[in-house]
Amino acid sequence: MRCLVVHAHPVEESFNKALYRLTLETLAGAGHDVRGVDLYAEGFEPALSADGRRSYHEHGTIDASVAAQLRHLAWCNGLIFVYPTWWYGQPAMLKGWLDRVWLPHVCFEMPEGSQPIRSLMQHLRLVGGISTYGAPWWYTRRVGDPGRRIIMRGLKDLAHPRCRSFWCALHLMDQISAAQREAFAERVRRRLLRLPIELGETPAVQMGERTYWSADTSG
Amino acid sequence: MRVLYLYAHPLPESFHGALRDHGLAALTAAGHEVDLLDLNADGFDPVLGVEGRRHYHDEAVNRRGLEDYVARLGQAEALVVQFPTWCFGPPAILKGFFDRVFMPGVAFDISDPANVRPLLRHVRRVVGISTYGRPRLQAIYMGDPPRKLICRYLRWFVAGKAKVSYHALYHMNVADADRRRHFLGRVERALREL
Repeated sequence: MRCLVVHAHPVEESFNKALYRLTLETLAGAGHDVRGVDLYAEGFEPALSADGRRSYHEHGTIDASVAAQLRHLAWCNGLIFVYPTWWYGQPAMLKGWLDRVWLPHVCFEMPEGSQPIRSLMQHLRLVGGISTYGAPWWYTRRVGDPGRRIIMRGLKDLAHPRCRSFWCALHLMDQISAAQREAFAERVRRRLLRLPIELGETPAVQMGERTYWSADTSG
Repeated sequence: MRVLYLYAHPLPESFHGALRDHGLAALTAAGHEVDLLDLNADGFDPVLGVEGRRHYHDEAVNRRGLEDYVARLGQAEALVVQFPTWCFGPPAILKGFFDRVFMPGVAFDISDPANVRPLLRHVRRVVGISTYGRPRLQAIYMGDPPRKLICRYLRWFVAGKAKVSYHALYHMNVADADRRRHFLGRVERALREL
């Protein structure tokens, strides 16, 4: 599979960063094509600006930093997130990546009236998440696990109808022992090794507005 | 009451701009003391960076650079949070405000990780105001993250006794002028009666 791993954690020596590296290494070792996007390292700008908001629904106004991310999205057929859950959701850095990169006319078409959104991301055959939480699982469930749902329902609904998915969550991050963290890392590794290398036929990329962002296909 | 009005939309000419103006007018007319915090206009940086994350749990230094926001939050007796729902969540700039400013020693006490305590007990009223592009049913299917963040999670910080209300305009993509006006009226009433 062509896996894009999107990651957001500021601290180099953090457990989450270790999970990110583990994900890249495990996937590459298993024979997948892998690309990593470390949003902090890239200095991605997460806030949608006034100009960005004004032109959001228009055709053909795509910022260069966003265009680079769109090329990654067009390249991959598996999309995996590795991030810490803060405030029951993605860190602002990653939330901003969702706000700014998943654009209308490119990733989906805004519907008329009550029609459902029309997806342009049918080439996605896998969506997954690996996340660490400070909260216990039962409280996370009570709040509805917003971060997970944004990815596993919101994004996945735009992917191929037979898109596979997985979610690995580590709870009570601030209280557990090093051995428990290691056990989680091992669980993640095993889960990644179970991903199929070949996915059969993947539909051609349909993402729209290509002339504005796909000039550099080397990515 | 001293009201902290947390606002996150980049465009002054948007429907949110109108909501905010009506909301502020209603609060002032009702005699409240309003502190508007417009995150976009303020140029708030939503990214919790390396230093911020390293010192996040160190209450002696974790508010460095954020003193002004912490002080304004500390004075609030009511909290109004107004934002558009993007990608089924709050905009990154607001998410970053929660990530960075609702920190240990300010919003909660995590000195004993097994027994975390809320610290925003001075807030007696919370009002969430949001608009969604998609219909209500789809928001329910998604678990309505913004509503839960306000009604369940933010409620935890203000500890039990505060009254929390949430006003949402769903399916904004097809909302005609009538529905928008109706929603404007609803928000105005809610804030006037705070």
